Amino acid sequence: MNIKIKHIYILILFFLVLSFKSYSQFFYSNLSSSDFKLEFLKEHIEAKANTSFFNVINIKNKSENKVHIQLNLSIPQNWQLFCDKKQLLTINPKDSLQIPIRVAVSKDVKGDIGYSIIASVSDKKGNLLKNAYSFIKIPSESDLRIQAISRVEYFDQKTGKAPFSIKFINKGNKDELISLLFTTDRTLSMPNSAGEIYSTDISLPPHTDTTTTFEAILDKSADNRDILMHKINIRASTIDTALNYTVWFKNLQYDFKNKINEENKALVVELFAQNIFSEYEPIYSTNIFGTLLLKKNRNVYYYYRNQGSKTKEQLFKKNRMYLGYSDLHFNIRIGDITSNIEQSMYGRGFEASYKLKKHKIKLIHTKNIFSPVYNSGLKYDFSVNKSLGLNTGFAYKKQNYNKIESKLGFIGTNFTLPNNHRIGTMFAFSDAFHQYSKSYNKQGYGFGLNYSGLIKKISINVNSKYGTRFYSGVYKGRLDLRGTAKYSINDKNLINLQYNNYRNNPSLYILDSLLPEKYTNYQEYRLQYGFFMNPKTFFYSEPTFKIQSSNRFIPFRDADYFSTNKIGFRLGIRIRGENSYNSISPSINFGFTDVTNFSSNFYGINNPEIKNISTIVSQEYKINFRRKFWGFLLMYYYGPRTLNEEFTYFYSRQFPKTLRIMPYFDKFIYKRIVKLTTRAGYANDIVTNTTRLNLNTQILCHLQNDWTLRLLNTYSIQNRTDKETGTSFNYSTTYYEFSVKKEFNFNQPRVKYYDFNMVLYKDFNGNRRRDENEPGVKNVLVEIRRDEQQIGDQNVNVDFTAVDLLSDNFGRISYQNLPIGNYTIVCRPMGKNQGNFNLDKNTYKYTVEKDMNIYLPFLESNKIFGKIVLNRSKLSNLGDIDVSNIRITATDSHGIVYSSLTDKKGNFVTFVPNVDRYNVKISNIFYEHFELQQNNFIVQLNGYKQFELSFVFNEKSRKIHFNTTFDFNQTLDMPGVKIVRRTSLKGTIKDATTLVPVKARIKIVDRTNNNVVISTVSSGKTGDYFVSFVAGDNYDLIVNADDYWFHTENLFTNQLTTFQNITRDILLQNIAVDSKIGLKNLNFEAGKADLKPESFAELDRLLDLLKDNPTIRLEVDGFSDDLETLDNPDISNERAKVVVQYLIEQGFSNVAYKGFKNSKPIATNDTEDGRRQNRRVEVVVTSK
Amino acid sequence: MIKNTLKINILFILISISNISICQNQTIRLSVRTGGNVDFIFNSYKKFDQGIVYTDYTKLAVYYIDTNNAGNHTALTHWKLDFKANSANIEGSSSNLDLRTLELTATDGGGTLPATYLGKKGLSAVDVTLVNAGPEGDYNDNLINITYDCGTNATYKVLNKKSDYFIVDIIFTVISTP
Repeated sequence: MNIKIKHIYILILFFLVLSFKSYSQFFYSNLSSSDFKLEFLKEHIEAKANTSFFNVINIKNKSENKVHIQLNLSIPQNWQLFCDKKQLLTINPKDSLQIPIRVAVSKDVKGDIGYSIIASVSDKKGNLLKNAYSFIKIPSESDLRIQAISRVEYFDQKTGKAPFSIKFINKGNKDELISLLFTTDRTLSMPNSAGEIYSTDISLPPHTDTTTTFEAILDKSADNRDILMHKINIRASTIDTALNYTVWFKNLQYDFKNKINEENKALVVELFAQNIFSEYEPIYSTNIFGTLLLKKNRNVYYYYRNQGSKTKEQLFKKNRMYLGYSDLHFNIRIGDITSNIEQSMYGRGFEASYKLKKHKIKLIHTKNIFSPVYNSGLKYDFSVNKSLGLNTGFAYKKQNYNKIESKLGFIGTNFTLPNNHRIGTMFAFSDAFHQYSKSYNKQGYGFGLNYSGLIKKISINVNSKYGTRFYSGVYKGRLDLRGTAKYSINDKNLINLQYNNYRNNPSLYILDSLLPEKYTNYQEYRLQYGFFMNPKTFFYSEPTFKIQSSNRFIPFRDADYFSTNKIGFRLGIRIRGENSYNSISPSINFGFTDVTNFSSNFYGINNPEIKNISTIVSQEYKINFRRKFWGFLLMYYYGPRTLNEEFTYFYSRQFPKTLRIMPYFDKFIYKRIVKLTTRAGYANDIVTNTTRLNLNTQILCHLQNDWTLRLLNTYSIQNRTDKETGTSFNYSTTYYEFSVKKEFNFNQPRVKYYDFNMVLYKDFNGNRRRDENEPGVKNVLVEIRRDEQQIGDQNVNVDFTAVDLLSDNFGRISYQNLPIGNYTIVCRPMGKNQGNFNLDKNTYKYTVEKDMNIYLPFLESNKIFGKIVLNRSKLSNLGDIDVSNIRITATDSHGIVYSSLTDKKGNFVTFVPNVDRYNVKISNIFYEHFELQQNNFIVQLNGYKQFELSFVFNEKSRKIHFNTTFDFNQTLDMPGVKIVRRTSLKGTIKDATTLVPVKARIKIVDRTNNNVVISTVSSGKTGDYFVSFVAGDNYDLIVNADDYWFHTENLFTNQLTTFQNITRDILLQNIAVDSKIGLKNLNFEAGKADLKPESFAELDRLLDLLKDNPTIRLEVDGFSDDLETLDNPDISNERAKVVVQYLIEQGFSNVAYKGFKNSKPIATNDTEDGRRQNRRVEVVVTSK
Repeated sequence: MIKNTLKINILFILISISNISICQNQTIRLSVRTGGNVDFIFNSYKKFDQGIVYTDYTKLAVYYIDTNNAGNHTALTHWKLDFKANSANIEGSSSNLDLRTLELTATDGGGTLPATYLGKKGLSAVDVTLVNAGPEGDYNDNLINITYDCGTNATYKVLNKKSDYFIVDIIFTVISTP
C-alpha cells in the first residue's frame, strides 16, 4: 500500500516538473534584457526625401530558452514602414533572427535634423526589454529661388510709387532665414530705407513659398524723364547661398509731344543779334529755311541767311542761300554750292543731279561771289552690277584775276573681287593754262586707291589719295594715306596696326609767280594691342613711331628743313559705368624725340653753335571723365608734342609744360524748358606763364508753340607774365549772341501731324459713352506703334517716335504731332486699378487723318461665380480635402479662355468680358475618388451680369469586387479564407387584416438558380423570425402560410460591410374572393410581353400555392403604361395571356385573363420608374 | 535699335600763328568767337547713316594789319587760314576714326571785307588751306564761319564703328601771304 502511494506521488511530481518546463517557455516573467542582443545592421544611414532605405534588425536569443517576444518598430511621423510595426517572434535558444525592414522617407523631411528608427523588444505583458536605434541623417539641401511677379513695374504717376512683389520659393529641406538687401538707383527709394539701401529678413520653412510685396518710390524732385529704366537690385542671402535679382521700373508719362525735325518743317525763322554788349558794332542777321513736303515724294527746300547785311548789295552778296527741288530721281539746287567734283566747285550757281537705278549724273556750275572765279563740273556714275561701278567726269575752273584756266578729267572704278575684297581706283589728269604774263601749261596728275577686305582673319583697310604739286584738283600737292590692319585674336584680345602718311606741298601762285615750295610731311606707324578685361573695361598699349619734317619755318631758307623722329609709347584704359553715359579713360604717353635734320642757318645767319641735342623726352597725361550731364577732360603736357614745339625747343630751349582742363555741363535746369550748356577750356603754359581761359555758356529756352530763345556768351581771357620784368599782360574778349527761333508746324501736303488723345474710363452704365460720373482708369500701359502698311507715300520722311504711355488719374493719354497714317494701339492695364472693369480687347487699329479724341470704355466684366460642393461618403477614409487652387475655365464662342482658381473654401469668381455664351468647366482633379455630377455648364450671358453655378462632386462608393471565377465552395475550404459578408434578416409575419401573428414558412432563394439559400419558420405566437445567411446580391425573400397569399420580395441589399442587419415586417393577405396579389417580379420591358427568368420562378411559387388550393379560380389582369399603350393598345392583354398560358402549361387551367390597358395605373406615368411599375400583371381570386 | 552712343568730341584749343615772331610790323590775331568746342553725338540710325552737319557752328575773327610795306621782306598784305589735326587719327580708346570723317567748310561770317573761300576740305594731319587771300582788317572785317560735316562723306561714314568717345584737336593757323 505504501508502495502504491509512493508511486503515485512520484508520478505526480514528474508531471509537475514537465509542466513547469513547458510553462516556462510561454511565460516571460523571468526574461531579462541580458538575454537578448538587439541591434541594427546599419546604425547610421544617410537618406534623402522621397527615397527608401534598407536595414536589418538582428535579434539574438542568448538564453537557454525558447522565447516569444514582441518586436515594436517606431519611425518618424509621415514616414512609411514596409512591414508590420509589431511582430510576434519566437526565437530558439542561442538562435538569432535577422529581420529586414524597408523605410520610406517622407517628402517633407527636414535637413539637419536627427531622425531615428527605434526597434524595441518587449515581452507579452508589454514590459520593455531592450531598445536599438538606427540614426538617419538627412543631408540638408538648399534650393531657394526668388522671382519677381513682374520683371518690369510702372510708377503711379500721381503717387510716384510702384509696388512690386517677390516670390520666394524654398524647395530645399531646411528652414531658410533670408536676409534681403535692396540696393536702389539714386532715383528710387523704399519706405524706411537708409539712403539707397533697404534691408529686411524673411523666414521660410522648407517646401514652402511666399510672396511678399514691397514698394519703390520715385524721387520726384529730380528730373527723371530721360531715364527710361530704374532698377532695384535685390540680394537674398542665406547662411550658405546668395542670390541676385533685379527688378526694373519704368516711369512713363501720359503725354508725349513728338518732335518734328527742322528739315521736315515748311518754315523755320531765326533772328540773330551777334556781337552785342561789346565795343564792336552788333551784327543782326536772319536765317530762314524750310522744306515743303509735296506728294509723290517731291520736296522743295530753301535756305537763306544773311550775315549782317546792311545794303541791298550785301543782302544778295553777303549771305548764304539756296533753293532746291528733289524727288526720287531729280535734285536741282540753285544758290550756294559747296560740293566738289574732284575740284572745288565752291561758289554760287546751280547743281543738278539725276539718279536712276544704275546711272547717276551730276552737273555743277558756279561763280565765286567775291572774286572772278568760274567753276563747272560734270560727273557720271554707272553701276554695271553690284560688283562693278564706273565713274568719270570733267571739271573746269577759270580764274580771271590771275588768268589761269584749268581743265581736269578723271576716271575711276570700284569693284568687288570674290571673298568680298573691295577695291576703288581713280586717275585724274589736269592741265592748267597760265596766260597772265606769259602763256604756258602746267600738267598735274591725281590718283586714288581704296581697298578693304579680309585676308586670313586680318581686316585690312587702305584709303589713299594723291595729287601732284601742279594738279588742279582738291588734292593738289597733297597725299593722304591711311592703312589699317586689324586682327582679333579672340573676343578679348585685338591687335591693330596702322600706317599714316600725310604730305602737303601745293603749288602756290601770287598772280602768275610761283612761290617757293613749302611742305609738311607726317608719317606714323602705330601698333595697338587692346585687351577687354571685362565687357566694360578695355586696356590698350600703343607703341608709335613718327617721322615729321617741314620747311615752313620762317627762319629757314627755302632749302632748309627741320625733321624729327619720335618713338612714343601710350598706355590707357577705358572703364565704362553701368550707365552707358558714364566712362573714365585715363592714359599716359611717353615720347622720345630725336632731331634728324636742322639748319645752322637761322634768319639768314650761319650759327655754328647750333648743334644737335640729345633725345627730348616728353610726357602726356590725360583723363577723360564723362557723365551724363557733366564731365571734364584733363590733360598735362610735359615737353614738346608737335613739330612746332620741338622746333621752338630746339632753337630757344623753351620746354613747354601745359595744363589743360576742359569741363562741361549740359542739363535742363528748369523743367524741360531751360537748358544750360557750359563748356570751359583752361590752359596754363607753365613755362611762359601764360594762362588762357575760355568759357562758353549757352542758355536755351524751349517755349511753347516751338519758340526757342538762345543766349550765347563766350568769355576768353589770356594772361601772360613776363618773367624778367614781372609785368602782366591781360587780353580778354567777351562775346554775346542772342537769337529767337520760331518753327512753324504747318501741315504739309504729304505729311500732316495731328493730336491723338485718348481717355480710358469705367463705363458704369455700359452705354459706351463717357458720362460725367464715369471716372478714368489710371495706370493703363498704352503702346503706340506705326503700322508698316501705310497709305501712299506716308512712310517717307515721317517723324514718328514709338512710345509707351501710362494713363494718368483721369485715364488720359496724349500724343501730340502724330503723323498721318495707320496705327496700332495696344492697351494693357497694370496693377489692379481697373477692378472688375475690362476693355473689349487689348489691340485697336486707327487711321489717323485728323485730330482724334478717343474714349475707350472699360466695361464691367460679367461674372461667373460659384463654389465646389463635395458630397462626402460616410464611409470615406480620405480625410480633409483641399478644394483650393482648382482651375475653372470659361471658354467663349471664339475659343478664348478665361480662367480662375478656387479659394480655400472652394469659391471661385471668373470675370468674362463679353456678352456671349460660355462653356464653363472645372478641372476634375478629384476623379479618382469623386464623380463629378455635372461638368460643362453652358452659361448664356444675355442681360445678366452674374451667373452662379456649383460643381458637385459625389464621393465614389467603394466596392469589393470578387473575381468572377471565384469558387465560393472551394474558397470556404481554403484555410485562412473567411466569409467577409453576412446578412441577418429578422422581422414579424402577421395577418394583414387582423394583425394576428401568423406561422409562416420563410425562404431565401437565390434568383439566379432558384436554389434555397436558407429557410425558417416564424413563431406562431409572436410572428417573429430570424435568419442569417451569406450575403448575395440577387436573393428573394419568400413567405408562405396556409390560407394566405404568398409574399415575395427582392433583397437588393448592395451589402458593403461585413455584417448587415435587415428587418422586414410582413403582412400576409388572406386568400379571399376579389382579393388580388401583385406578382412583384412580373414586370415587363416597354412594349414587350416576354417573361423574364425570374418571372417564371414567381409563377412557380404561385403554382405551388394553387396546388394546395385547387378550387381557386383566378383571373389574370394585364396592364400597360401610357406610353406603350399609344403604340400597342393590346400589350396589356398579351401580358395577361402569356401568364395564363404558362399556368395552363403547368397544369392549372382554372384561370381567365383580361387586359386593362393603362386604365389602372399604380404609379405615375411621368417617370420611367413609374411606368415600369405600371407594366405589370395582377392575379385576382374570382372564386374560392 | 542703337543701344550705345557713338560720340565724337572735337575740341579746338590751339591757335598757332606761325610767322608772328619775325614780322614785328605785323599784327595777326585769330579769335574764336564761339564754337571752340563741338560735340557730335551719334544716337540715331539717321545720324549714323547720313552724318551730322553743324552749319556755321564756329565763328572765327581774324585781325591782320601789316604796316611794313618796305624793306627786305616782301610785303605780306594778305593772310590765309590753314587747319590741321594734331594727331593722325580722331582718337578713341579701342579704335580710331579716319581724319577725313570730318570735313570743314569756311564761309563768310558777315565781315566787311571779302576773302577767297576754298570750299569743303577734309581734315588732315598736315596743314590744309581753308581760306586764301584774306585782306587786312579789324576783327569785324574778317569774320569766318566754319561748317562741319561729320560722317557725311560716303567713304568715311561712322556706321559700324564701335561706340566710344573720340577726340581730336584741330589747329587753325593764320599765315601771312603776299
